[in-house]
Amino acid sequence: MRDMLTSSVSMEIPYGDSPTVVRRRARSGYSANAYLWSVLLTVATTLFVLAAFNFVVDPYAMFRAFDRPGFNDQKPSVYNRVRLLKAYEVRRVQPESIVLGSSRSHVAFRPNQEDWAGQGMRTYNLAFDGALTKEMYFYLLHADAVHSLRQVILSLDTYHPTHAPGLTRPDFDASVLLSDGGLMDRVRLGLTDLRILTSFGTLADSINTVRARHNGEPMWLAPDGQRRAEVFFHRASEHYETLGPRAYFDEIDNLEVGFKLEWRIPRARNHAAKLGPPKSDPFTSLDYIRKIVTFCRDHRIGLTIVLTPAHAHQLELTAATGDWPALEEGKRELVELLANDARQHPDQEPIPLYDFSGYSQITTEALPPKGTQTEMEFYWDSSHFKENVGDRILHRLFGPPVGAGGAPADDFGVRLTPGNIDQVLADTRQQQDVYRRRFPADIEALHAIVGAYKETNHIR
Amino acid sequence: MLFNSYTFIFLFLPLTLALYYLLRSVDLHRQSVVLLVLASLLYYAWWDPKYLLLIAFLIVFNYFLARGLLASRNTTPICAKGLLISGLAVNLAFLCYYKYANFVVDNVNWLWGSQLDLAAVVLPIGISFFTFQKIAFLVDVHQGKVRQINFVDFLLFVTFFPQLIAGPIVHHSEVMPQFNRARAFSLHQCALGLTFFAIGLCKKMLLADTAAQFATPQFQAAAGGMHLDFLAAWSGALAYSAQLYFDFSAYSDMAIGLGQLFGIDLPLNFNSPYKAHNIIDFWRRWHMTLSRFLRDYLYIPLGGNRNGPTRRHVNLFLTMLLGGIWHGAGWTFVVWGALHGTYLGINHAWNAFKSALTLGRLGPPRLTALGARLLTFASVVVGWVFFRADDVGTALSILKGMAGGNGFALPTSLHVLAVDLPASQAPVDSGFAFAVAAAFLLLAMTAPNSQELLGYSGCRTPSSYAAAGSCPPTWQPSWHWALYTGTLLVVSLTMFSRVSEFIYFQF
Repeated sequence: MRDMLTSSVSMEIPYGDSPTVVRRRARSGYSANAYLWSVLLTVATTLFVLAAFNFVVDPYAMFRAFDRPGFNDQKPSVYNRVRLLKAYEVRRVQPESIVLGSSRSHVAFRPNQEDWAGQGMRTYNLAFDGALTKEMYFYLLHADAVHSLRQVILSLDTYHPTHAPGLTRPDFDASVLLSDGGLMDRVRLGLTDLRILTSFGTLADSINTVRARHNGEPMWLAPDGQRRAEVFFHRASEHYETLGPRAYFDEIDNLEVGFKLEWRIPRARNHAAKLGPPKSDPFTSLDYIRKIVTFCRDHRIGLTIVLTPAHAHQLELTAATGDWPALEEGKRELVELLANDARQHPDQEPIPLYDFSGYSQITTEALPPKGTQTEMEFYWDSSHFKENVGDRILHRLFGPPVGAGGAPADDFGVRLTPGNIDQVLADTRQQQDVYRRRFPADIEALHAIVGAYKETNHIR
Repeated sequence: MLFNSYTFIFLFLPLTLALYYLLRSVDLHRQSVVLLVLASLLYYAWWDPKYLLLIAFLIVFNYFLARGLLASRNTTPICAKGLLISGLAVNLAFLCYYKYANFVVDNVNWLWGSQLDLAAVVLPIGISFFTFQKIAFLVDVHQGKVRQINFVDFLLFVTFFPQLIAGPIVHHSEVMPQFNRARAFSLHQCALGLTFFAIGLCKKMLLADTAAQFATPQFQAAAGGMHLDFLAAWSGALAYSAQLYFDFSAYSDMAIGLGQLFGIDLPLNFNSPYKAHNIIDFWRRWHMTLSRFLRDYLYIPLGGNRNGPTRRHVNLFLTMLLGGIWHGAGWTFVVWGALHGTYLGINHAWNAFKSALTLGRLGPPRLTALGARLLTFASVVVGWVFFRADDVGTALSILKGMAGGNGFALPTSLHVLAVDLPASQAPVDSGFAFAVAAAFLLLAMTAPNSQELLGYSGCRTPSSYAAAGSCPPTWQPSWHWALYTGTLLVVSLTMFSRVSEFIYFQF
């Protein structure tokens, strides 16, 4: 301490300094030792105060150590950081059974559903918007590193089992996830916690959280991971509320066409394009499904795979945009993948694959008339099915077997196997014809949207 | 492991420093050098462990080749020459394979319509930098400039982590003597190093990454087929000019600062290049260690200026062309290198013309100086458009926009004032982007740079690094410097949540 305050006594002589420089330094009254301590203390103090404030306010619900009504229980910032939130929620909840999937599963699967929760495991909905299979894989590793998993529901949309490159969304951050739970892994995670707590962006969100303490809006992210769709879609600012259910459904159909076709918009490219080291993953989306299967097998985790039931409009849009063969191929590849897995593990139960994505009484629900405010029974829009549909799926997976003990058989969902995949795909094409005859106006409207998009964007 | 990561700043660096000085405090100086080697290899392996084998192989290969050169240089010169050629060929072969194989295959397929297929080759990080360092070393051994080599020192010369991934391209004579010298621990040097590091870190987090937010979307939009309007094109090009300078110079500052923390002087790499009055001056200020390498190991062996002006211009052009190719496997880099080769030729020709006609300044001093700087800067910006663009077509599209060929439109922020005028379709507000880029560039053009702020001149010649204490900085610690440095560090550390990556990371 004395060295920090003294100026000319016991000053170390750095390399090669002339006597003039030494004298100049002696007059300056500030030693290098004092300087270093001052800098380090400034940094440490500021970061500590910042981290403490952010820890207490906890805008992303990372720790939930000081959640108080009227102070920080409203956390609007979590809505833009769902991936981050869920990484920390998993550390808090330590689930034994999870569902992985996209926003469809995020909305529809209740962790407290009777059949799922009734198995006596801690359940958690680990799905999030726009989830890709690479992200699902890393979140699976994270969840298992936090606490050994016993059961996983891998809820895939029909665009997941493809050979598209394995990608992640921009807000995916692997540093918030454990991989093997080892010492270095946890040290790295601790540094990530520190980084987030000392971030200026976190400070801004903390201030917003405190400001939002009286806004009284119900949170639409439940502690068990599910998105509360009844709250979310009925918010005053949501198009579902402002446009009405039917108009919103039509709006989403339009958006879906863009999602399916935007990669096909021709770009003016020089043929001598710059080539650099590839930035994309060598693994495909299907490869990451395979990795998930392998991981679950290696760790004796009970895995069930489902294909989600989007509305038939999504199937028609897939056909209208020319992607129907890819959809069928994806299902075949999934079946083949699981068949290979079964052959490699003859002593274990085959991993079941349930296909709810075909034409059924649920997925072919008629749309409400235009101009009305009538809500649909099973769908929020052509992509997101409601909780009652999710409950049916969970009941099929974990409830009494079909046909036994009163569980009714219906046309919703079929278990895919190598023995029936060809028949199921053929049946689906027949059901497609039936649907088109039943709803010709819908089909015409969908084709018109696709045609208009292609014409506007010069897609052949 | 990036410098701007919590793992590096709060784990790797403090641990390495602590162990390093602990060893030196008990007079285990050579062991401390070994520790630095191990830490550097760990630093490299953090990115991808399997490429550690590659760098290890190349180090061992080059070391034993150098030993062979030393042994045969005087006794069997032909054998020595053969060893040198083999060494250069192997080093360049690895570089060419990892960097250019996919480029070559794709262009062969395009030219001849063939269907050759090569799996994507991932570029090992820093390979361009450490290949050049080893080439310079082998040539100097062959020329008798190196009398003895030691494996540990050679290992550290190649792998020293502050400069391993993105330079500065150190000359062996600059650093290897320093490893041998048991320099006393200096708090002053540590303080200087911390300050240098803080300045670099803040340049990266606050300036470079902010500029990137305006540059990247514009270039991506252009690559996607959008025809950027005048302001959007200029804002993107200027933002990238700012981003590139602050990003790369920041890395060099941090590398120098880290070197100082370990008592090692590293050479300066930037000297306010946007203050250059002509292109010749620009290349004496931009990526100075690369310029030095190209001059000493390419331009001069090609003949330099010893064979008349025409041959000089050809040599300059070839040097810059190869320098462009070194930066990346793409036609845009070829064009960039060719542009600068042409610029240099024009500059030299103009100087010769002026000398021949004994022309003095063509106008008032301040005006001519300003005009020269603006012309130089504009030429550099045109080059940066090619440097950054995904392909030549995109670059030409942006340049067309900069020339007004895609029309003029109001940015979003101003369109509300004149809704009848065309609105820009650019992905970012080009007015705001232009203002930010202009402010950053004004800083680069007028403010003192890091070494001027700190009175750190570096060592002017490689030999002066060998002499202990020959390059003392004039910077003195003070309370206001402590406040300034502390603020810079706090601001930088609190911005870590933004996704960022050094531009030169994949070279």
